Amino acid sequence: MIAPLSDAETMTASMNEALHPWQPTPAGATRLLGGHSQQPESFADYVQRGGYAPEAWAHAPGELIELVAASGLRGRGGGAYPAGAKWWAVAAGAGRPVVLVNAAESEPASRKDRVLLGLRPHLVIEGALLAARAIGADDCVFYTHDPAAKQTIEAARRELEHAGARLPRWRTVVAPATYVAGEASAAVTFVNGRAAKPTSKPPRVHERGVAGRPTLVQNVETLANVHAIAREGADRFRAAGTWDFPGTVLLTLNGAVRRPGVFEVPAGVTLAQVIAHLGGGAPHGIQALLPGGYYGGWLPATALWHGVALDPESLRAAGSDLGSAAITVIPESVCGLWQAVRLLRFFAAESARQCGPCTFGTAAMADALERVARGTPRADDLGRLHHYAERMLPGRGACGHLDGATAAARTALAVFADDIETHLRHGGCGRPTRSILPGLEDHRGDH
Amino acid sequence: MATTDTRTRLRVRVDPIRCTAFGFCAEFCPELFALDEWGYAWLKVRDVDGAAERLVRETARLCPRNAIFVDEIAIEDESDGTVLPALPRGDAPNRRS
Repeated sequence: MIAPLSDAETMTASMNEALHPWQPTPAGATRLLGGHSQQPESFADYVQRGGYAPEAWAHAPGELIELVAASGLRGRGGGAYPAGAKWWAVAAGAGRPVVLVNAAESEPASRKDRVLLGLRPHLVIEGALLAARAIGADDCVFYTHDPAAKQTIEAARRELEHAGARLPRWRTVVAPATYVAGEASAAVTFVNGRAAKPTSKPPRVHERGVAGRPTLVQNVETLANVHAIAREGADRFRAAGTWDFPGTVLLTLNGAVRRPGVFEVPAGVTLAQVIAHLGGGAPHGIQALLPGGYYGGWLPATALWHGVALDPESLRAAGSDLGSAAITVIPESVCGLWQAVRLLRFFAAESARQCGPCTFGTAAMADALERVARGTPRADDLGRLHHYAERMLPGRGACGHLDGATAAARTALAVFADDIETHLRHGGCGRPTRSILPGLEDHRGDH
Repeated sequence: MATTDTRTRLRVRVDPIRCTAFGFCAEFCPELFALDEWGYAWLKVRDVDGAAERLVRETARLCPRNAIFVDEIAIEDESDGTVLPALPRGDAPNRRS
């Protein structure tokens, strides 16, 4: 992860200058990543910058939850669920709560959690410890796919213990790097000693999670915001971002931009600004985007010119989602429809194969769209895709995987509608069909 | 649809991990259950009123996989409680009955 770290570092600095003229609250943009070398920030440096400050720890548990609720902090792992409401729910559960720090960055297009952990492990740890204090947890589980993240976080924890801190029980668990393993119930199931696959709801993990106890599963970026809220208050946190989605967003910019990388921006900046000023523009044009990783579906390039912004509400109104803010820009110079086929193939391959509609439905959608892309559809493949994606499959999986696949299919049918016409008529569009989706590059067996 | 026992409303749920496409539900209670094209239970509506309780509970009892759950829910408004739009009959591609 050395290269992305240095990228992130340079980009964060240049980004502040680049965005300054447009941003009412430019100060928000270096809260999490700002001002660091490529090394993980040491305990001493973190404390020097106000880390583990007594004032952040002066709140009574209930006060701290109130503060997090008042800050409007929402989850950065994809669901954008209000953190305060989640903390209340866990605290009110039956039994001693557990904190599960979700660092399983399963999203192939996302690197922001790894970058954050690599730079500021103590910011994440303090957030987790504050959360544990707020909800009354005596057990923290750090859950990741990445052995390097495990080392970083364990080293930071040892520093903290060496400094004399008394910590709750703390475990680090490394799970297999599958897409569904990052889902909350899959994480809990793995920590409980079984395969990292989602379970049916109810019960939800805030009711019955690790060892049957109420469990707070929270993404690392979400937790990294807690220190500032506890120390500086809700209003300061709200100085960046939008009313509905306060704070900053760590985003991963991929695909056909001049400068891909990990950046921190105030929520609500436009996606066009992100691409132009942070990404250095898109020299090969923009055909479409995946703004929220692979879960939220496709966004047409026209949404950029209509001012779509980096917050869940704006992106949902445009038909997609913020997800984990892993943005992939598809240029005009490759076949967009084949990217959409590749994405559906990914969902089929990553299905946990527990639920029938997901096992069969994800594959059926990928097959149908591939036949369309090849210009050799079966009768009514297009109608069938609409039927699958809009009516038959949504809401029918134990986790959101199937819904992610239906969103990928439904939005592809709309965003690539003209392309589909061309492919049905000519069997292709003449552009290269190779995948440019991060982590889903073509390999043996692909077209 | 207003009945004397509309104080009770039931939410029907199929556990998609448990369901392995026996299809008994759609045979026994086609008003509520369709099958998708692979034979898995596909709920047409999620909420039913108390008048259907016996039918719904009997269907749940018949499922060889115990994949059908029926929960009582509080009535929050005067709507007919149908949260998911009812599909027209015969809509599911491979309906058997």
